[in-house]
Amino acid sequence: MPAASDLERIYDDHAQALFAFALDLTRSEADTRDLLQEMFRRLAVRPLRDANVRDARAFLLRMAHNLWVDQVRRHSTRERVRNTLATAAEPVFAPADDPDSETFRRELDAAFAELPPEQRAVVHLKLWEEMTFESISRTLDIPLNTAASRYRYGLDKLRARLRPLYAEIQ
Amino acid sequence: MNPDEFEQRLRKEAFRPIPDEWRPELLREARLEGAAAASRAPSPFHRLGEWLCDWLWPAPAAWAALAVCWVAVVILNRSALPSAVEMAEAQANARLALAYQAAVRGFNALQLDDPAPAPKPPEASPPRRPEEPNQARMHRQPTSSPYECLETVSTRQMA
Repeated sequence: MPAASDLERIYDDHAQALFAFALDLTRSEADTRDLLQEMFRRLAVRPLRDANVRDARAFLLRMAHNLWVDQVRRHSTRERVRNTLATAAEPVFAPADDPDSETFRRELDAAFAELPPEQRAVVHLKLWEEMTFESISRTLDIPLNTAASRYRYGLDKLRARLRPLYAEIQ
Repeated sequence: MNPDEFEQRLRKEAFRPIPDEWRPELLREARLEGAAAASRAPSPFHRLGEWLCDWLWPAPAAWAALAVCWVAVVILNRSALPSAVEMAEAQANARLALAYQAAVRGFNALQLDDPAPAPKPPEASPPRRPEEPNQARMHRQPTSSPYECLETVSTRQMA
């Protein structure tokens, strides 16, 4: 069992990034909480230092992705429909004070929700975690070219959807 | 729209912060779970199961495919085995070959026990002079022709 301070340190260093990634994948705060709960439960039973981890953030993101895959497999179709319907009610991005920025954020939220989860995961890791495609391919367990193409397709869709608004704001 | 600018613009968007009340809740539950796990000693089978899960997790499809290949190999191996009739035939042939080998070995042993008298070395003949062959050829009696031999045989038979 890891020392309490180890778990707290992991939480303080990585919880925000894991929350954002998990929320982006699940689009549901309840599922995100379940996912993080399971993750920290596992970390309590089997600490990071036992897992011989070099890059803790990448390891934790991979763990979050694997847990999300398990969660999707477990969920019935009915629950998936419920989650899809709840997508609009679960914003991923923080609200902005500026009305223009707030409009852009809302549109980005909606555009992001329309992306397939696989593309969303790659775009998230590339843009907000600033990971390389090689690192993304290892984290998501996909080929390097797949990671690059998913990013390109995802970004193209976002650009096409947000082009008018972005041009207006600029 | 410059792609780099667009990407930079997206990067500026901040995600919702994780709810503050989650921290004590998640950590408390994790600690409880950790304490419970530490108190119950895992059985060797449980450890083996966990180790297998960790090991097989990255590519379950690949391991399943490998298992299918092994099953196919076993099935093909079984189907390639000879039938009972073929086995019996092969065993009979093997027995026959063994018997033949034993017979040959016995025969060889007999020959070794009773060796044939060694051929005598040829007696030393006086050195021949070089003109001798010619002389011998000159004084040699003429041999009977094959017709004469046949005639002799037929005469004997008639007698």
